[in-house]
Amino acid sequence: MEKSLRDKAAITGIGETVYSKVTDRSALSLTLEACLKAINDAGLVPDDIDGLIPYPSQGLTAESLITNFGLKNVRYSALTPMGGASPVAALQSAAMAIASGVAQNVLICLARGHTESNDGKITARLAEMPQMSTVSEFEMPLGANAPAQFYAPMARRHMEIFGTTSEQFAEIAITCRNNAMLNDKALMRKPMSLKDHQASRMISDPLRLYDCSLESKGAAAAVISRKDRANDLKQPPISILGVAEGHPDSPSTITQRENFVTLGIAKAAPIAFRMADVTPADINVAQIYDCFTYIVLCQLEDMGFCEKGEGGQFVTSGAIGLKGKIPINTHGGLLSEAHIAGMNHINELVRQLRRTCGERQIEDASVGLVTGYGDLGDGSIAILSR
Amino acid sequence: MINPKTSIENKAYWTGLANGELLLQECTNCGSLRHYPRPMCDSCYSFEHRWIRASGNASLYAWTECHHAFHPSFAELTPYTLVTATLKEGPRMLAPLTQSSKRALYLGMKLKIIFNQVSVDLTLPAFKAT
Repeated sequence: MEKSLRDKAAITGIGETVYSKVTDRSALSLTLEACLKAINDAGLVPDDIDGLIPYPSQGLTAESLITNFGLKNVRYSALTPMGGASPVAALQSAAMAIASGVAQNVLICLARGHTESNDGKITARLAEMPQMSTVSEFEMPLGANAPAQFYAPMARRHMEIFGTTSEQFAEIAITCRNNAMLNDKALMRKPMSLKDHQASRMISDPLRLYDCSLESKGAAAAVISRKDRANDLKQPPISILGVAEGHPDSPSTITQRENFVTLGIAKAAPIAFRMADVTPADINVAQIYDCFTYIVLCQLEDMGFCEKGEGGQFVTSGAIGLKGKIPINTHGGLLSEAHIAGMNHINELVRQLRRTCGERQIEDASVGLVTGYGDLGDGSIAILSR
Repeated sequence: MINPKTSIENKAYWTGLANGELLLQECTNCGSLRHYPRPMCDSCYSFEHRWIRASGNASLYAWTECHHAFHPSFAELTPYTLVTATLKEGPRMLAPLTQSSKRALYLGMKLKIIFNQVSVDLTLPAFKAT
């Protein structure tokens, strides 16, 4: 059980569109481009794909991929509707489909395509998501209308209990920005200082504008293949050593959660580390879901990179920079590269382990970690190795 | 204004607010209280419940001061504070803090529920500091 998915599947291809603030292309159009690039990157052709796990947003379905690619051989499709935890959770489902022999090459993808103006629409968009139904029924009418407002009380509680500060949150935003400055694809490449962060306007206290991720457009995709056949493909396979998803207690609202300062990943991380047979000290690079700075800090604690409550000191110790002991979000993350809901984190980790990241390459990167976080605390984690 | 979606599960709760009462579900099999309203007891899996009137006394568990309105109906209210309140009876709920209660907030601060009739059909809960 513990090692059930270890080394059974590998990421063999990745693809991405350009990222932008606005787009005139549909989510489906962007998805198809990213998927085609991922399939080509793997050295496969579309008809080699027999499993599909699309991100269920903007009407994207397995059927729409089958139609547009003319796929003939799909025998597995699934959804992992966990918001930003979906792509890494999809790695688990893909590995399961492959380990069980149901599928050989599974395509996962995520897009954020053209929408009419976003102004004031986020509440309506969230209210349509089934997993937001309790928040929609009981909290949105009271003025809790967007993720910043849902999550800020958790950050506040962490600050009150442990003495965590806004300046410590800033370190995460600045680290992501510094990395984005080395990434041509990143949307935010101007330097950010602590003073800039502290001067950015308050959104939902304690979260300032620069604690919040971007709103972006674009798509990313990856192909996951049988590990024992992956060596014959075009790229060096990046093996899935450990993978898990975790759902927090009271996943339907944060308000009722017994413990405000842990997330679903606290349940998933020990499973993934045991499966991979590694510890946090073995991780060379980590792409950590960063919808908000605080969420990064909490995940670092939940995964055991530091003790609970010490995340603030940990991130200001130099640990998370490119030269630190656990460099994070080498592409700039959702905070400074683009918000592709963490699909971009998976692809960046694959590039790091292929050692093709140029200026921002972590030397000798061999084992890395990627996380997802979504909805109201769902977590996912994958440990990959070259 | 965002009108809540009423359902067969939550109708009694909203009706209670309109009557100036905060109602919680009490499992008639094991006595557990639950909130927000839902069909089954997560302690004993019984579907049987009755509605009890909560005291409205609570303490502050967490909060956020909202400076940016993500929905147009809250634009004129910013900055407004949302509190996560632990009810004396145990369950938690989220509600705005009244403007007149604005002061330095701290964990455990005593709160009391109030009922704001915002339209003919809708009464929303809020908390004031006591």
